[in-house]
Amino acid sequence: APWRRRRSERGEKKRGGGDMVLVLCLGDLHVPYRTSDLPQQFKDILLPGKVGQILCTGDICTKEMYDYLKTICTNIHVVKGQFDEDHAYPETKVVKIGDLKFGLVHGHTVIPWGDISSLGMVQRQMDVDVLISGHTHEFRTYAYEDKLLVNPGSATGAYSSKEASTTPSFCLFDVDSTKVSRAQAQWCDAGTRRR
Amino acid sequence: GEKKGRERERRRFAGVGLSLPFARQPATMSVPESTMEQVLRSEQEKWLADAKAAVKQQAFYMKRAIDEDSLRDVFKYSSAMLGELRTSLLSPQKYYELYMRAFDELRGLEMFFEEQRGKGHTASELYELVQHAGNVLPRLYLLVTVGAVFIRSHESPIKSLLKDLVEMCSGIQHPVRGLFLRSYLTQVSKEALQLIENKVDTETSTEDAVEFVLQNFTEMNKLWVRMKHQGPVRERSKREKERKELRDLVGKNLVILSSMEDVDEAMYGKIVLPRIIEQIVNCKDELAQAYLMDCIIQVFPDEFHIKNLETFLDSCGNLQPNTDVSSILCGLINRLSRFMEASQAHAELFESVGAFNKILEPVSRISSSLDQQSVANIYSAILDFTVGQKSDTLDRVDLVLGQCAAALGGLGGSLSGQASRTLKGILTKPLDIYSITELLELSSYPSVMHLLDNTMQKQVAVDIVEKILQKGTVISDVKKVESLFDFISLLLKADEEDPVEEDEDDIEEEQNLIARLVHQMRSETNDIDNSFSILQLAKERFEKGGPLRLKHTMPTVAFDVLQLVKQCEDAEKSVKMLQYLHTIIDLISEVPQPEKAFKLYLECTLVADLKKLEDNAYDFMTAAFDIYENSIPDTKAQTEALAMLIGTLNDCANFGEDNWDTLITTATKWSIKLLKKSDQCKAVYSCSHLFFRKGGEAEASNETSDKVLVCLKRALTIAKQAQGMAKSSRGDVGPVELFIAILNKYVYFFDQQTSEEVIKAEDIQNLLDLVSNETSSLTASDDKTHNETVKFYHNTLRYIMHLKEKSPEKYASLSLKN
Repeated sequence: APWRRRRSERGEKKRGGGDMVLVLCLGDLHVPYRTSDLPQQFKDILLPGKVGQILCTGDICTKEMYDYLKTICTNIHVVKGQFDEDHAYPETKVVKIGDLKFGLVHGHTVIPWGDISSLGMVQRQMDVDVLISGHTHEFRTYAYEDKLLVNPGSATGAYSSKEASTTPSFCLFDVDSTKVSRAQAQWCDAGTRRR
Repeated sequence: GEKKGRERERRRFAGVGLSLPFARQPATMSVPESTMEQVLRSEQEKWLADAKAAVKQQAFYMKRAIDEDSLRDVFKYSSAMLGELRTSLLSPQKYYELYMRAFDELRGLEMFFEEQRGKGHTASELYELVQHAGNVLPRLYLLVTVGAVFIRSHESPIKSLLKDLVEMCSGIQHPVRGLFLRSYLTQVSKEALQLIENKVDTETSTEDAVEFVLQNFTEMNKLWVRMKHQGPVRERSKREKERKELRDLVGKNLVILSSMEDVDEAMYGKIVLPRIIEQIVNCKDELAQAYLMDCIIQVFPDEFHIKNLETFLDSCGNLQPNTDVSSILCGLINRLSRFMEASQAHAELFESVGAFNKILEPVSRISSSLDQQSVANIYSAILDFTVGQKSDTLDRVDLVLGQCAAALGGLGGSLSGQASRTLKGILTKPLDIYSITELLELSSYPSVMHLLDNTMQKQVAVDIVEKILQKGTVISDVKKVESLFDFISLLLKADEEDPVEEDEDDIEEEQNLIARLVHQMRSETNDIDNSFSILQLAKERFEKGGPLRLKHTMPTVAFDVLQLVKQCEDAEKSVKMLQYLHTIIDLISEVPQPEKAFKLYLECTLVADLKKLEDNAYDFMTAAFDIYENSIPDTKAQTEALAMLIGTLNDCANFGEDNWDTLITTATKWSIKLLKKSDQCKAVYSCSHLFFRKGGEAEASNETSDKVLVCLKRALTIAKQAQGMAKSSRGDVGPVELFIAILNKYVYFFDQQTSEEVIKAEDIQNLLDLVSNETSSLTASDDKTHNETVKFYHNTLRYIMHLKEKSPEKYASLSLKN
């Protein structure tokens, strides 16, 4: 099925100024337990050298997948998901890009799962401008007060106990020094577009 | 000078119709010559130069005699000239140069004889006259030369002349001299054969012509083989090299036979081929056999080959043991495959004769007398050929593979490295061409696989799995899945014969591959029963792999079963599948991998809860608690596990009151039993959500909300205890962030309320005051390590102010100070 890209117009016009960093946001791969691989369309887009950083919400599950992500970009930050086993990933991480602070947490320790206010507490505690979390396999960006809560969903469209089926998705940020220009959301199969 | 001479020679030689055995000698030898060889070579050059000079001189006289029209002198000088060809001193390469020199002159001589015939001498007269020449060799050359004239004169039937000539040439039994003499006869007779073809002579038929050529060929081959035995044994390899240079002289006869238009397939099959093969087999010489068999293949049309496959292939079984039969057969098969590709009509011809089986049968018979590498090569060529055909190839490929396995198996012993590689190539070819479902129908494929050693078998198995994953093929038939497991059986079970310490990383890599494969094995039509039976089969096979393997592969099976349960509408089936999951997860916890089993039980709980199967959900939860109590090793693991458990419980929506109560009470109990105070606190305030049922769901919403406050107050107490302990034991302010977190939770629930049912504004105010005190002492201390906590506090304040602005009535009573 065809995949759709949504590029925001404002983001495009802003191009050319300052230190722009392209940040890839993804997680909940669950290879091999829940799916066999990333969709081929994603693999075709995510070529080495295109992104400056990777922020991963965890549940990658195997070393092979981690190594694969590392080939896309060596600058990769991962937090520990529920099903990540052997690796010494931290539970949370704060990454500074430009003047913005990005927080990273898997989300299964934030109770209730996917609850905005609970995520808000984590945002306050980590003191970040953008909080990236996963676990629910549901793609969502939420403006929370003057901050941003992002869930890049599952990059492989892995099984989740709640949803009937999950669409593979991930998120790209263009980070200017003081602003996250816009998120470019990539969907597979669905025709829905999101800002 | 030198170059021009070589060019001229090349043209002359090409005129004879042969390829170039000598024309391109490298200027420098690649192997350094010994002094002995150097001496010999310079001697050869000297002798050649002498002989050439003599020929030149006699030719001069001969030409003068021709001009003077003196027949007797012509005979004398031409005889003398040809006498130089009697030499035994020269190597074949040098003899050829001399021969070419003489050959040039003989052209002129032939023209002279032609003129003489016109001047009154009959051809038979001339024919008689030349036989008075003194020595045999010159006599025979002259005879052949006059013979050309005689044939053209039509004074006698061509066939008798040809017969005479070919028999007379037997007068020279020396290999090199005889070969060149007969080669001269071949060249000269070309015209005669043309005449026969044009049906000029009524008494001479095509059969006669064929007979002539066959006889010449037979004699030439005998001479050629005899070269091998000439001279001392230690020079044998040198002689074989020289022999190779002369091979086209012999092969030329076959070329002539193939160019005779009147030789049709019937004649070929009845006369030509059997005679040639007879000579080939009888001569018992590897060089001759290899060359001539290949010659037959290249020179005669493919239609002939197709109709005479049995004869040809059977003879391959009668060749010398050292003859490379496999390259002969591969040559034939390649030729046939190009033929088939050329046109549809060709393919139809092939089929109509049943040629495919006619190839396979003799090959299987011959295989028993060949070595492994040859057999492997032959079947590889046959496979390439079969796969290249356009129709109905799958059965045939299966047949080929089966025969290959039988042939190689029959030879016994383990495969050599090179033969193994050829075999691996044979196995990879169908993999590239056919889809996986088609591949699985090749029932002989595994038997060929089993001939390889274990490492290579595993490689092939991995190739198969990777191909399935790469193409995204879905296998939806249980039987096909079973076949697939048979194909890759080495990956699924431990090596019984070789119980070496298995490398865990390698196993992990392999098994992850297999795990990914599981997702490709399901029904494509949403037939849940079908998919489930496939997964059951998978589970059984994986179980046999032992704990090292199943710990990687079983979780995948579990998740796929859960996926089916989610899709399943039938409650009974769902229950059955959920019960089956117990057996799977038990295997995992026995590995032992209790944490993995624990997480899987939590997942099962969620699905069971989703399907409103309360008993099953409770059952899974109990199992999870069981593992938690008994098998989770250390404190850190316990804290993490409990967090997962609370999160899972919180996500469940369909437990009845009693069960729910038991579960959340147990969860809270374990929260308090965690070792570290701060962990206890966090777990307890997380549990507060468990006691909070959103309005509209549970009947007694107020009652449950009460417990929320109890929980939070308990958390507060624990936080204070933690603080106390930190102050007394380490002298620092303690975990102030816990207070702030609890404050956040208070606000959370307060915000959810419609009016102040449980949490009062004053509760929050009290907490606010407490927190502000604590944090002011932090900021006062000027210690950088508490920066985060301070920020947390400020962020929280800002949040509460924001809420105040949003709904001022609700938050009216709260006052915030910095």
